[in-house]
Amino acid sequence: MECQADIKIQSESKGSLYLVHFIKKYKYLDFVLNELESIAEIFGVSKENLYQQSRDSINIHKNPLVFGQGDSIESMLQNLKKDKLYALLEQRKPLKFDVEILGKTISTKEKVEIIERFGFLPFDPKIDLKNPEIIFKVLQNTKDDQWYFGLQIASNREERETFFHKYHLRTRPYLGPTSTETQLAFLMANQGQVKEGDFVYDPFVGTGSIALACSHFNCIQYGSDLDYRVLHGIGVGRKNENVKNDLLDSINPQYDIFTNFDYYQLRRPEILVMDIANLALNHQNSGPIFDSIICDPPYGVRAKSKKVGISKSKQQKYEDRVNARKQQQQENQDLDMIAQENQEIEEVEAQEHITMMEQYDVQKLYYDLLEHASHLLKKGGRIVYLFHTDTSLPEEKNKFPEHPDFEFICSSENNLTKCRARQLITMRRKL
Amino acid sequence: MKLITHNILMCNKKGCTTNNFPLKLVATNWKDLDTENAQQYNPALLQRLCEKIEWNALRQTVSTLNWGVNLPEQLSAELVQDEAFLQDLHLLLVKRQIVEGQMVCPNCERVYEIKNGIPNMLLREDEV
Ligand SMILES: C[S@@+](CC[C@H](N)C(=O)[O-])C[C@H]1O[C@@H](n2cnc3c(N)ncnc32)[C@H](O)[C@@H]1O
Ligand SMILES: [Zn+2]
Repeated sequence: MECQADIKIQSESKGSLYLVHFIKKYKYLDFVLNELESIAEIFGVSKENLYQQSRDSINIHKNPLVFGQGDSIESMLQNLKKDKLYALLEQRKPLKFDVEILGKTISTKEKVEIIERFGFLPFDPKIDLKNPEIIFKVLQNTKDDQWYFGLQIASNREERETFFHKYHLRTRPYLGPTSTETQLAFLMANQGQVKEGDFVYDPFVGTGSIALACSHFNCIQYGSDLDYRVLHGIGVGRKNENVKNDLLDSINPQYDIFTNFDYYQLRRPEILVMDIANLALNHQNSGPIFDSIICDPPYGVRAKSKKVGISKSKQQKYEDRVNARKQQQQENQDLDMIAQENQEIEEVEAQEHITMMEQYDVQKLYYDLLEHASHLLKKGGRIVYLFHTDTSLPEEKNKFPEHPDFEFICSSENNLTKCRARQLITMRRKL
Repeated sequence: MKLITHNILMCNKKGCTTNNFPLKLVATNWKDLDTENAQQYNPALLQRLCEKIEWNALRQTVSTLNWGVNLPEQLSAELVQDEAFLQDLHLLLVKRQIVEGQMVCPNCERVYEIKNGIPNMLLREDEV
């Protein structure tokens, strides 16, 4: 369902006025301006200037080039930039007119009445409602009563028309309980300004949802995770039975983190089993090799409970067990058993409302992340990550992570419950 | 795992701080990915990889692998324009995935296993 649009951006560039119309979509409204600015910067357009080029963006739904504007249809028509408009009409391409009154549905009759107001144009247009090459848009913003008339450059109002539709979780062959939601993953990739050939790293890669979004933009992707099960497709990571693909079965019958990349024909990422607390990446010799770090750190760790000791030792016992068995080079069956045991532990923990780490440790995890990022990120490179806040907790627990080598760029809020939210934070490695 | 990744990995075991890079690579099974997953031969990309690569570590590693490729002592501006050289690099850095094998620390001899293309760099409790 689509709601009323309530944000628009206009700006003047190269003498043309563009209008970006965001559709107020359920949860990511707070992300739109940050995303727009991030993408604009990729194309060398500063915050103050206009977003000119089209890139796969989650939130930008309409992007008309405006020929006329006014506080009524009459004044809009009087203000028409005829030279530009006529040049376009002279090409005599099949076209259609589209009318939209924001926040209001209007009848076909009303639409036709508005379109007929353009009858004065000295052209006999080739109307083609099915396959128009040109779409003219009449738009009234009922909030400020402005009318706009322009050429529609890009639009992705329908989810199934969007570039990210095919990446939807339910249509992916490999999934896990932590798989980051598709739109959010792409928003993160855009906050990170991922470009072709960039080296991008996700130190909490899990089932690779964020890595997949970044790889869509043709980067060289690296990922690591403490839990080898999500990487190898054992236990928690699983085959999505809704997706049938014989080819996939033959390329990689084991279904693991690489499966989705094969499926979408993207370059396979480089994957490591590794603990963020003990990175084996050699920045001394290799230097800061990453252009961006984009990740969703573990959030089960958001602590309310003080019963930290218990769960921590459970976690340790689990890890010890995993390590011990790994040493013995066990077969997958055994790993499955561990997975199951761990599942049970997790369930028990959930029941007892015990979380894995103490608040101190959450902050330490983020500090560690930024500290590593400071060595691994090239200067000016971005780190983009999710951070959970809970307004029922004391203020200092919701304080955004800080690090002397990083400057804060922006954050967007995604509300989960009345008190809890996740923040998408973007920071930049200082020059 | 591709060689571009081996090229940034070191041993991080407690107390192992010198001579811990590059890890000795034993590749028991590898696979050359097809163009769909590996992406096409792309000189611009390879030149970019050259900027990131620790050349000595790569050259030294490749010389132990018996893959029929020999890399020159040094990377030069002419070399990164040379088609035959870039084709070699394309094979080494983009196409070839080490599926099974081991990496051994030259200093402490800690062994890191590679399974299904994924190296395990986790340390045991007593190693951190
Ligand atoms: C919120 S999930 C990220 C999910 C991922 N974006 C995906 O699409 O599946 C957090 C991940 O961090 C991993 N993790 C937890 N502690 C870690 C640590 N100390 N080092 C590395 N990874 C860790 C977990 O195994 C989990 O896969
Ligand atoms: Zn060592």
